[in-house]
Amino acid sequence: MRLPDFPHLGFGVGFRHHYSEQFSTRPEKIDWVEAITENYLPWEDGTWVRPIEMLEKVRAHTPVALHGVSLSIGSHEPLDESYLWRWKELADRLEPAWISDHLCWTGSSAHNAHDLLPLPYTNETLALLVEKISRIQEFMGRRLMLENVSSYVEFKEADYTEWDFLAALAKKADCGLLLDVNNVYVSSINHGFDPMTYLKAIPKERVGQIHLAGHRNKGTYCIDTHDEPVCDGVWKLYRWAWQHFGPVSTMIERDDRYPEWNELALEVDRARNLTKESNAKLRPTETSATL
Amino acid sequence: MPNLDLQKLQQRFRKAVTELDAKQSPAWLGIKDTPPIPYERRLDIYQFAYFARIHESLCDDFAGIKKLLGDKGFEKLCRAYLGKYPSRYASLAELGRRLPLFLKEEKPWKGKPYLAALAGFEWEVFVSEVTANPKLHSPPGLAGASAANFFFLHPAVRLYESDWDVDRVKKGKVAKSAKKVFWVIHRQDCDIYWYRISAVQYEVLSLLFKGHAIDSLVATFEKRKVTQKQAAAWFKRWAENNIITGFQNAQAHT
Repeated sequence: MRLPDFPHLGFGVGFRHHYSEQFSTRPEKIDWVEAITENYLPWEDGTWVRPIEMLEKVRAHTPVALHGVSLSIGSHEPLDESYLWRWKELADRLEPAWISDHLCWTGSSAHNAHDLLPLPYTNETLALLVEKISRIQEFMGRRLMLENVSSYVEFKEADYTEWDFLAALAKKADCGLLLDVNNVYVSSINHGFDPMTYLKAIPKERVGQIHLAGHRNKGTYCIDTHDEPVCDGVWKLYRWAWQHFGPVSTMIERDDRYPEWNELALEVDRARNLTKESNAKLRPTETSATL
Repeated sequence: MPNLDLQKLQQRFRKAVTELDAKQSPAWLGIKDTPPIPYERRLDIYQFAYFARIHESLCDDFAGIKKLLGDKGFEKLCRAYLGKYPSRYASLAELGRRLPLFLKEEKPWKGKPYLAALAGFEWEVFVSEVTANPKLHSPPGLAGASAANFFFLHPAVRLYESDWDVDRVKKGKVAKSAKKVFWVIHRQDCDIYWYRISAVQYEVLSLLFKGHAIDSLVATFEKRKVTQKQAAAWFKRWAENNIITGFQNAQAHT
């Protein structure tokens, strides 16, 4: 049974200011949006930034999830208390459907690289994360979802594969997982593993959200750019994931080279239609109610 | 390298990603060197993403500085700035906060002090653009305000003073101004405006920023020989420009 903290909201997009005109009211067939936490956090000096006003207007007609990029939960350093307080202030003000961030680190307190850097999947890292997630969930009063990131290097020191690490982490820390199917695809090409092995290892009940996005295929490797349409390989994995995990809130994540709104909305439609087809093909014992 | 703990591993990896000349062997970094992609290429992806993201953000916020320095000059500045003041902010939006200071204190840029002046001005314009609106304290305008009232300035209002006329500097005219120049930067709806103000207007707005009531400004008006008519005209314009957004009486203020 899925965690109740992450209800199935339907199909959405990443809320980006590029599309703010479309969000004066809830756009047709968009069930929810995800917003980047750091774009709305009050600054360190307490200044609230103007984008929060736009997001509050969106929140009035469309459910919003908050998705962070700078929590740096995997850093060896302690959690950034200032960040936590500001994050809580934002979440209390906005009342998001849920909160999430990435299974990564982004640098040190004195040097944020503003990038999602990979972690070694060791017992040391696992213990550190379990402790931090517990602290965060207690402080925020909400369950946290963590997203698998795309990566380009793997560390020699590893007690787990990435997928086994995610599964162990979700269970031990009692948190949710945001499954980025595109990231699984990109990392599978970059590190030469079978993406199906990855997906099959993820505990169903922990998956609260799915990301779909595009990347650049460079032949022998892929770069996770979020500036291309979702590719066929990712759609195939998503179809399987939907059948396997059941109805999970899904969104198209686009961060650059923004297409016309209609083009983005078509991708959302494609995800929705694909799940309808998948639902029709499910055997009676595999309906969403039993997954 | 066995038993590379998380702290050491992250210190080494961050250095390899953020410092151009810090590449080390995969063994030292504790990463796999897995064909067909050379490990140098794998690290390049992180290095490139790190600088590209930050460079793009600074380009957006300091367009005038970029225009003066040119693409290569601006890239050199960004790398040097990150070397001394790496981002310690959660949001990229705050990254440029220390660029004016950096330009003021570091060679070769400190030899061109108009750069620091322009960067400071561009930063204030950016802050004005992104600062959230206030909740209205009273009906907009000044109707009903009295001498004992405290005025609320819009949080997006910024005051700036410089020895350089930054509007001229932006156009490449870098002659130092004969006397200090003062500006008020403000926002109406979504549009940013700025205009030059006198030293006395700057002083009065600064006092309002600090929470002085209008009757406490009388001494300043007298000292600076500002007539009641002049002061009334200033306040009227500031209210029309959304610089003053409301007022509150002294009792409520305390």
